[in-house]
Amino acid sequence: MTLINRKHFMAELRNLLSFMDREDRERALRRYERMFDAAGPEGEEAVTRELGSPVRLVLKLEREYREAKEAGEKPFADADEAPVKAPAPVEYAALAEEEPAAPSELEEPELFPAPEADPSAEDVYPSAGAVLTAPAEEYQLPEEETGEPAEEPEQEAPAPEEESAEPENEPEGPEEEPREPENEPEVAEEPTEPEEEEPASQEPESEPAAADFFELEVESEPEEESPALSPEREPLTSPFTFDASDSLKAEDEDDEDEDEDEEEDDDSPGALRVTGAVFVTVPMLLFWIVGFGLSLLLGALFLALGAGVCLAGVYLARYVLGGTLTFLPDLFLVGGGALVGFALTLLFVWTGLWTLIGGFITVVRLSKKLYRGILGRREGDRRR
Amino acid sequence: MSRIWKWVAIISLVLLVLGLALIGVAYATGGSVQRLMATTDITDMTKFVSREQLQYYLTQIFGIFQ
Repeated sequence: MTLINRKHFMAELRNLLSFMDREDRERALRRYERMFDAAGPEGEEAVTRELGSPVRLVLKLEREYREAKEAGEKPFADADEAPVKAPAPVEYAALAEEEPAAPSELEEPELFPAPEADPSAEDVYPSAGAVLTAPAEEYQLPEEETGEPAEEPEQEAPAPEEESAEPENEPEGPEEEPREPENEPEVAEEPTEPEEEEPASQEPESEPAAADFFELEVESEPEEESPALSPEREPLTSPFTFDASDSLKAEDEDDEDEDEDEEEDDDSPGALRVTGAVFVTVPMLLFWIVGFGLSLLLGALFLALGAGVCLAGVYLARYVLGGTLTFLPDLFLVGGGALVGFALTLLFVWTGLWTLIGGFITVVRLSKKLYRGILGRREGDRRR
Repeated sequence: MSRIWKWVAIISLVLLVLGLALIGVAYATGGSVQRLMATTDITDMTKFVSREQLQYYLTQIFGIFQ
């Protein structure tokens, strides 16, 4: 199972949510951080599997964000409420071994306040979306009943009647399909009766087990980007199409953001702001002189103190090592003085450097902040 | 910065404690600064600068406050 871990998931989610305001983004991230916290380290994989791809989750969050903004509400207000219940890892551990239930029988998971249901995605890709939103309870059927859910997807698909009429071959399907998802188009060839091969191979691509779906999705994300760019591509029933369409939408959003940023750059700074910045420079000169001068003076003072104490320490150490002192208490006294001198040297020298460098940096930062405020340019906007 | 401060503080404290401990042992075993100055040339600054240079520097420094 090659699922991304919590750190990778949250990092990717944060990166993809850059279009939001900072507060809203942090609130949205906090929701999922709390979800991971509630699940604990052992439930981390289950939560990651439940949430699915970060790209798809971002599309859902974006819709929620826009709706909340349009309604004048605070987006992701539930992020600061009581922690969500963690999913039981045991339930999801059975996920990889058992066959998923029929898509039509699946319901929304109740474990999380932000379910994975994606209405628009399900409209386009109903079968794959149903697999994604399958709760863990649906996979917890006894082993003798696992044959029944495997039967229903085949009934929905235009499968020949011979398959459903032979129940003795059905239990083999759910055991073999999840293990070899790469052979999905040839799954129907595996049953013992060769005469069923041709009608079964004409079926649409069968639904993979949820566990294998996530595995395949993670592995195939980079490969799906290039086909996503072709607009004439038909929507596939495969769950991989989610990532492709999502990445296409994400790229469109990025392009829109870049266009907005370019417009902002064209508008700012205005002539009035530039004039204000020039006028502010005059009092700023005084600030620079005082700031840099004070930093330089204090830094040099501490450095001089450090140098003086260091010389005293070296002087005393030479007496200790020179052999001129024969009385042991004198030796201890001079040695102790040398050590105290070196201790004060270190303290003074570092204080001097810190004052010098820190003072300069503070002055520069304050100046940048002031000018950025006047000219109206935000670094965060430019980065986007 | 804060990490460097931490290590500077730790090393300085260790050196300071060792130095003060040595001075304490020296005083406990009969040593004193007066005795050290009386028996050695440790405070003789003319080993580094001549008496005239020392007088010149001292006059320059304290002349600021006059």
